[in-house]
Amino acid sequence: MYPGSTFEGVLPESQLRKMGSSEGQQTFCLKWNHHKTNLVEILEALIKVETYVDCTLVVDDQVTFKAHRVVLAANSPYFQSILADVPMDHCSILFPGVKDFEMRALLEYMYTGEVNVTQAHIPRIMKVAEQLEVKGLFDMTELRRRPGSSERTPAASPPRVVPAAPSSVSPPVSNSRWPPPLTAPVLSAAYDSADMNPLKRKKLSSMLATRDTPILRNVLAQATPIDSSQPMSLVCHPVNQESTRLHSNGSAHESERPVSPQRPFDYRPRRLSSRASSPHYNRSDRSEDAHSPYTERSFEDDNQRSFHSSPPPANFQQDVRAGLAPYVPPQQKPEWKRYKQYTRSDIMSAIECVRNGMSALQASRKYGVPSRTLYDKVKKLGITTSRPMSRGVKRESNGAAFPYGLSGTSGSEDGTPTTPLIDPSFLQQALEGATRDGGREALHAMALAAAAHAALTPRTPPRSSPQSPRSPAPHDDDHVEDLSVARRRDPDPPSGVIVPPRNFALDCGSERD
Amino acid sequence: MGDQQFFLKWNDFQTNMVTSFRHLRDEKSFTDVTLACEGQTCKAHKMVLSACSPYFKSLLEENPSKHPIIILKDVSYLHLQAILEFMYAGEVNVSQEQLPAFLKTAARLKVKGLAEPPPQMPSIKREG
Repeated sequence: MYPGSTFEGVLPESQLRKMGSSEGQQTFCLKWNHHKTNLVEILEALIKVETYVDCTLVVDDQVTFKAHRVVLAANSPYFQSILADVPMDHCSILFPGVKDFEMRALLEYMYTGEVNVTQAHIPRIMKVAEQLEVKGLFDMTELRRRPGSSERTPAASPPRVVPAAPSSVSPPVSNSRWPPPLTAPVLSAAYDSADMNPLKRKKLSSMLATRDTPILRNVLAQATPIDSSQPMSLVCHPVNQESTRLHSNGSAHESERPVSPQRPFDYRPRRLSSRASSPHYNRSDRSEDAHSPYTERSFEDDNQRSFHSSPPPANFQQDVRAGLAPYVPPQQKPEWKRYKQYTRSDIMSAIECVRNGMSALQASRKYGVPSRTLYDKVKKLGITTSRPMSRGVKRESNGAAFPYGLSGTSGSEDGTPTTPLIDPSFLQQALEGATRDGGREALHAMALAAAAHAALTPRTPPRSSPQSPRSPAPHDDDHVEDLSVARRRDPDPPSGVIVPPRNFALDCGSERD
Repeated sequence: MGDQQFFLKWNDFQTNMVTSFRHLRDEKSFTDVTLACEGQTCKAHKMVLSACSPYFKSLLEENPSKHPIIILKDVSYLHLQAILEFMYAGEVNVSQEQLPAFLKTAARLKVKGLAEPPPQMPSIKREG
């Protein structure tokens, strides 16, 4: 089967969805996860070879562009109204006074949802976009006129297109309504694939973005245990998430849910010790580490999601409508957190302490070693700890919080989460972040991890330097340990409401290596 | 048989042409060009546009298309309508405060009779 396709009928969903079906006539949902992305991809490919184009845009100096009317109409109500009553085989649209670079930029924007422009061109392009009512660009200018708009508008530059680098456009100041995205700077070298083209990127991101049907959740939830064995470092960093909105056009509201207002994101450097060391850590612990993606996503957000997911925030639709994809240039690197900030001697000392009777948690705090890692090491050495971690309970809580079993458990703290379950929404965000930061290989790896059909066999890529943020350096030994621990310790399926047999999958995965 | 030529002249020819084109425009029949500005469109005839404006003439000649759509930048829809009215009827009412902007737009579009330094300036009558 095609990697992205899932025969969802495999799962009778009467349990998950009201399907208006009578007894014996169960309705099945056949869904191709790649449908939307495929459509976008095809259009983009078609325009490149100018196939099926049905209109010609002519700008100054007789420069012509071919385009599909359906794309123009989809991206601009103006075009829609103009083209509606021009039922011709092939029409020409003349734009006297419009320069070719302006039209080129707008067309690229309309076909791909993003475009790189130089700062000098922004005002002109925006003006044309406004005139043509190009969605995303036009709507934003409407918002700008609104008095209540709190967007910081740099002078002499369009509102949400903040010039950052000479040849690029960066997002506006991060809006607190949106959760900061998570990025994946460190990924397995096994997924260090060839350069991802934008098509693929889009495809993958929206594949994850559109996953919020119950069925899909289930499918993904089943998929994650297998693939979650991939080491992955997901790091928060403050970047506006508007491109996510644009890609996902409203269907991904779960992953883009605003951060709850009482807990605004803060950008403090995160402490590397003692995070997520216990599944039960109390609120003060958590607020202290609110910027930890693991804890934040896996507990609070999943709870919120399961209880409040249905109605998206009031401002959501609007934001989607007005969603502009600001391009984050690769030059604008966030502050990557190094995923391993302890030394070998640290861990050795910590192990020694545990051997001498200290609890793993305490030792991890003392030496700044992720408790999870420490625990696994200790376990491997056969040392009994004074305070074993209770993964079973942790899972249970997650399962209960999120019936579809998507909730991510916290990973190990050195940025190589040995996470058995990766929250796909988490992935999605990371994916978005990675996209914008040019971490294409990272992106690819994550997408692969998210897709159910990524390699079942955990790979063991060579270690690379832990200092390099992009270079994927999975602690494969760690994660193998983790798997074995999981296998030993989790013989029972979790007790969530509807939880796919992820432990089983986990076991399979670890059995194979 | 002598081949004597007769001179047939319809005195109302010009009036008829003007009213006919006007009708055609009102009915939108045989319109073959769409003008768009400020998010609104109006349809017209290439022939009339070409006849009344060298700007449109060259534009339409350069882009032979069955039904081109011309998206005008920086033109007010009000002025566009007034200009079309002038092209089809030869006269139009423009309010005084709109007049400078209107004439400027007409000059940009090189509307004959409004833009060119004319042999005879169109008489601007004050009404109302």
